[in-house]
This record gives sequence, structure tokens and C-alpha cells, in this order.
Amino acid sequence: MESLILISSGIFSFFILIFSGLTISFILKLRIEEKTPAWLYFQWLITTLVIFLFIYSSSLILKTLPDLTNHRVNVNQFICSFMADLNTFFLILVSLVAFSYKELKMLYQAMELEKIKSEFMDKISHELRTPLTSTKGAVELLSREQESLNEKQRQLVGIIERSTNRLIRLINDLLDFSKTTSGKIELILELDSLSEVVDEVVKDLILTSKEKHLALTVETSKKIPPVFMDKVRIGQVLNNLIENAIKFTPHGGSITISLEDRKDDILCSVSDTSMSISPLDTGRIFTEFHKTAKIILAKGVAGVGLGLPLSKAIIRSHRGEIWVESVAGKGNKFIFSLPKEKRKRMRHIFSFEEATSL
Amino acid sequence: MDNLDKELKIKHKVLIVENDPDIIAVILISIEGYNFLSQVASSYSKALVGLSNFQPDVILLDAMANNALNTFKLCREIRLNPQFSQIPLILLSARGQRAEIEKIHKIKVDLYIDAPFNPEELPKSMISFLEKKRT
Repeated sequence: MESLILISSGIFSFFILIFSGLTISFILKLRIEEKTPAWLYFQWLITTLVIFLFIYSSSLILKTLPDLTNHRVNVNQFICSFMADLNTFFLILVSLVAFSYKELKMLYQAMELEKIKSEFMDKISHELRTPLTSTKGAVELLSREQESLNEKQRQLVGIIERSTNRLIRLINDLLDFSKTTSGKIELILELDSLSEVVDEVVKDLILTSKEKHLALTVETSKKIPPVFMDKVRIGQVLNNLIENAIKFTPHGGSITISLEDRKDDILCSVSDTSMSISPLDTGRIFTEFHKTAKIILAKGVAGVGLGLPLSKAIIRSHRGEIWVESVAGKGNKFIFSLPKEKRKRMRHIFSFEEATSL
Repeated sequence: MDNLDKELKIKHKVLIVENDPDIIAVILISIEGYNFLSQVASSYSKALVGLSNFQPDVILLDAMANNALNTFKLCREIRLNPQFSQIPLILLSARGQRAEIEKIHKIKVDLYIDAPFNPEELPKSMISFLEKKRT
């Protein structure tokens, strides 16, 4: 009789083991598709199970061990009761999974939707980039022929060039933002000079600032050592900050970009003489893009409000910090830091959650 | 004599795999004067024909036009064929696309050029890459 129970309970636990294995691999498969909610769910499930298993097995050992050592129970009986308890445990596991089936299914559907969305964004990105690639190429080739153009033509080519670059930046921001919210931001880290990046961005924007009669100056105390960064991404951040400063600073104001070499990091700040941001908004503008959009809409300034949240994601994924200091009546100062530490991985992909919640 | 001179000067044979006529024009104008001998293949099959007939030293492909050109399939085919596997691949791609190309499509690319690219930089980076490769 005892052996019959033992065999049947053994077979039973075997099947349940296979079943739970399949369930876990199903959840793991979801994880492999790199979707965060499933991973969180899986983590929750595993944590619960581990805690449960720990309490359960310790109580089991405490319950049967004294009997076993006192030879009051024989080994067969011990195994038998152990198997029976194991079965209860797996039954609980199975019901746990079965009860969460609905949630799992919903999760799966949400993921499918997310997948379609990202495929759509990919398609759009390619469709938009193709004409932009030829436009940018053609305009730059044209501006190479500066001598053969007259003054007016040169001016027009300049307009096309700046507008094309702006369009490219906008589209890049939009696509990056959709990428960061649904998944990843890719960094290509190389040892580069921050002051060079600043100079490049300033060169691009100096004309726009002159149109508004703003004084755009760069202040560097001493030689800034190179740091590991994604040059293009940091350029994007600087561009966002300076462009914002130009947008919000009234005619005749001034914008100062300064670099500071500190012990562990390099500090870069963009200060302007615009209307200072209310203390309530200083935290919001980096995280909630719709809030920024509201501010922008209220002020009637062009833009979509993606720049700052994206900048934050980029700086955070560099393990840096970004914040704003605002003095009423004086202006705003946007500051970000880049750490000097050497990074092992030259390529890194960060999720938006990871980047903004660090 | 002139022809011979030209031929002697030609440093690199480049096969351009691209289907957008405007981008082709921009690439061709931008590499003008840099001693490239170029051939354009505007489809997957034309690229395969070009590979064996033209025998390029370097292949420039557009990763953004993947659907129309089957760029990634072409890259894999080039890498698997012992006759062409040594030819360096230069890929015009969006900056965020690199990880996808390496991890999902598992293609080893020799040089990435970010698109939209700067036509001033394109021939320069191609040449500096090829010179480095040669030495």
C-alpha cells in the first residue's frame, strides 16, 4: 500500500513538475521578447514562490526531522509524506498560475499591441528618413558650391540646410522617445571631448540666437579632459537645452554655456535670462512630457515637449545627473553632469524606466 | 593615355546597393573626385549579379531600405559565400539600428555610417576605413 502511494505520488509530481516547467518557460519566453511587464510579473511570481518554498520546506523539516532522528518514523514513511507535501506545493503553484491566466493573457495582448506599435514606428522612421537623407545630402552638396552662388541663393540654401537639420532632429527625438518609452536607448560610448561637442552645437545655433539678438557665449575655466560618452546623444541634449533657452529667452537676453571640471565628473550648464520656471514645474519638466507640452502650449512656443524627458533619459543612461536651478526674476540654469569613470561596455542599451528612475 | 591614367588612379571599386534614386545621386556626387569606381545595384538580384561581375573592393548598402532591398539577407549571403566573405561591408543605417543589426540579424558590419549622412564625410570615412584595412 505504502509503495503504491509512493509510486503514484511520484508520477503525479513528475507530471506537475513538467507542467510547471512549461508554465515557467512560457513566462520566460515572454521575457525573452524583452517586455518589461512580463518580467516584473515573472519576478513577482518567482519571489512569492521562493518565499513560500522557504517557509514551507523549513516547516516540513522542523515537523518531520525530530521524528526521523528518533527512528519513530521509517524512511519510506518520511519520503511518502514529503512527496505528498510536495504535491500540495505544486498544486498551489499550478492554481497560482491558473488564476493569473487571465492577467497573463491580457499582458500578452498588450505586448502584441506594443509590438505592432513599434513595428509601425520603425516603418515610419524609415519612410521619413529616406527623403530626409537625400534632402540633407543634396543641400550640403549645394552649400559646398558657395562661390558659384549669389548672396540671395546662399541665404536660401542656408535656410533649407537649417530647416532640414531641425526636421531631422525633431524626427530623431520623436523616434527616440517612442523607442525609449517602449524599450531601449542605444549608446555608443567613446572617449570624446565635451567642449568640442559644445562648440559644434553652438556653431549650429549661433545664427538662430543672433536673429533674436541674444548673446550666446561659452565659458570654459580650463582644459576639460575627455570623458566616455555618446557624442551624438550628448550633442542632442545640448542642442535641446540651448534651443530651449533660445526659445524662451526674450529679445536682448543672454545665454551662457559653461563647463566645469570636477573631481569625479564634468559639469555642463546652460543658463539663460528667461522667465524662471516655477518650483512646482522644475521636477515635472523632465519626466512628464505632456506637462511640458502644456507649458509650451500655454506660452505659444513651437515644440513638442519631448526634448527634456529625452535629455534626462540620455544623461541618466550615461550615469549622470540633470537638473534645473531657477532663481525668480533672474533666469534658469540647466545643469548636467557626466561621470569620469571608465566604462567597461562601450555599447549599452538602457530602458527608459531604468534611465529615468535611477 | 588619359584612360590609362584614370585607371591607375582608381583606388577602390565600390558596389552601391540602394534603391532610392535621389540617395543614389547624392552618394555618386559626394564620392566624385575621390577615385572610386562605382556601380549601382538597385535590387537584391542586381546586387548579386554585380557582386560576381563587378568584383567590388567594398560594398555600400542601405540598411534603412531593408524591406525593398532585402539588405540583411544580402549581407548574410555575402558573409556566407567564401568568394565574397572578405569584402568589407559599409552600412548606411539609423543610429539606433546597430544593436538590432548585430543582435537580431547577426551580421558583422565593418563600418556604420549614420543616416542621414553628411556627403562631405561619406567619402572621407570610407577612404580612411579602407586605408586602415589595407595596412
